[in-house]
Amino acid sequence: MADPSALLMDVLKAQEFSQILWFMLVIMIINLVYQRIQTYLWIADIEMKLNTISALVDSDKERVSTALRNYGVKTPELLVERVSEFFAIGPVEIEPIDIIKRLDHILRTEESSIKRLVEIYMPHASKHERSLIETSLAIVGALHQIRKIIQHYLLLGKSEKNWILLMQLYIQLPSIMKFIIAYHDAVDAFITGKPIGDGAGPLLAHNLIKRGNVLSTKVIEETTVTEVWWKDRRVFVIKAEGPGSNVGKPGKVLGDLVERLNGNVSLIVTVDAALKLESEETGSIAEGVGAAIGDPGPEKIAIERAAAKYNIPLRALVVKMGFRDAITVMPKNVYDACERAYAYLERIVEENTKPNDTIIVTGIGNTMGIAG
Amino acid sequence: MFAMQFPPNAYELIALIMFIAIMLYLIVEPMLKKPKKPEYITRELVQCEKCGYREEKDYRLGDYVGLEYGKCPKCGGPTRVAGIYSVEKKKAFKPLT
Repeated sequence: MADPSALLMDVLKAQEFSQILWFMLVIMIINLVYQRIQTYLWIADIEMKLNTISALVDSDKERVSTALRNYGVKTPELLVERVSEFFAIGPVEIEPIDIIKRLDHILRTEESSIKRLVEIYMPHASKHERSLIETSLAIVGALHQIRKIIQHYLLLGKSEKNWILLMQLYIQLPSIMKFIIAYHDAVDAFITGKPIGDGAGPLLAHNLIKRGNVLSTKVIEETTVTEVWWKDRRVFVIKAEGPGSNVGKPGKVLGDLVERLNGNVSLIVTVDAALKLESEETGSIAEGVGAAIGDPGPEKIAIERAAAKYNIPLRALVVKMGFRDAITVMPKNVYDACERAYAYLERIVEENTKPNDTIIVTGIGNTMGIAG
Repeated sequence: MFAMQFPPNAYELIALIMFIAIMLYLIVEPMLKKPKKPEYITRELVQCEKCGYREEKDYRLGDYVGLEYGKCPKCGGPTRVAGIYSVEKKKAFKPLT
């Protein structure tokens, strides 16, 4: 039989201990200690994800270096590092006069500089092989930059004890991780030259050329212009020159073509891949008006200006897909959607033009793995 | 007298167990929900230009859409690669519809 007085003492001691515990908790809350604990948890999570990102970036750099070594490049790491650190400074935006011209100049200079750099390192590789390496290097460069930015905000947040900065980074990291994993998965497609989801426009253009009677073909600025007789109409099909990794200059080429035809064009249709909303299905098709092209500006404005100058109806047809689908090997449902988009294009053309009319169809996107 | 205002130990024990359970749930829950990443393989569709016969094959490195592939096993006409796409590994060998 236990001594009741001893039992009472034990209960009182336990209660005193819990009182001290509650008191300490209150003090911690007043001193915002919980916030520090939360910040340490965020830092631990960010560091863990950063380690994963670093492993992915390093493995992609190694894959591209191995591909370069296979092409006979002796010091591929130098090229990878040089392209990873390459940057382009945007034009002055507070002065809008000729901004498109200046932006176009910067983009073209950036593109030609990377091409020249790769050409110096790979003098014996074909244009097709070089294009695959150029894009793979661009992906590795993007991953490298993302890693550096995450590191920057993590170190800044830690050194300044800026929990708001760390919280923002912690909240945004899951979305950033999705982009990083998509880019990581994309490296395989770009090294091997397989068609990607973004190639939906060029694939439709390729199918259109195959099914029409080809009258003439011309390559201007890495962009193919094929004149075909299709559905009793004269159709100019514009797409990037394949099968290398290339998006061409569809806007400029279309603008020049419209000028050469003195504006005698009944319809312009742009076909492109578009990012879907979460509720939408990959491979769903939608039509609309305007220029369906996702470039920073110069190509898109060239299409809009050409259409507006001669009052040519500008129609858009898009195949919807997720970001990962757009930059990795074309999923089967996107391939099937291109077949359906072809039938959709037939309907748009038949509804909006008459026989013997002149039409321009532009397949926008990266034509990697698609000939023509 | 002050000590008497606090609840008895049994309540604190229940609170502690609940706290540990919630913490464990918060740690384990993201791991449980992690979906398995599907594996993809690349296939290519070869089509006869003459009779339209189609056959899905494994992707060969260097192939591209529009490339001449060989002769049609049915009519002997020329075949070309009509499409290259990725499919989920477990769905890869289902017959074409």
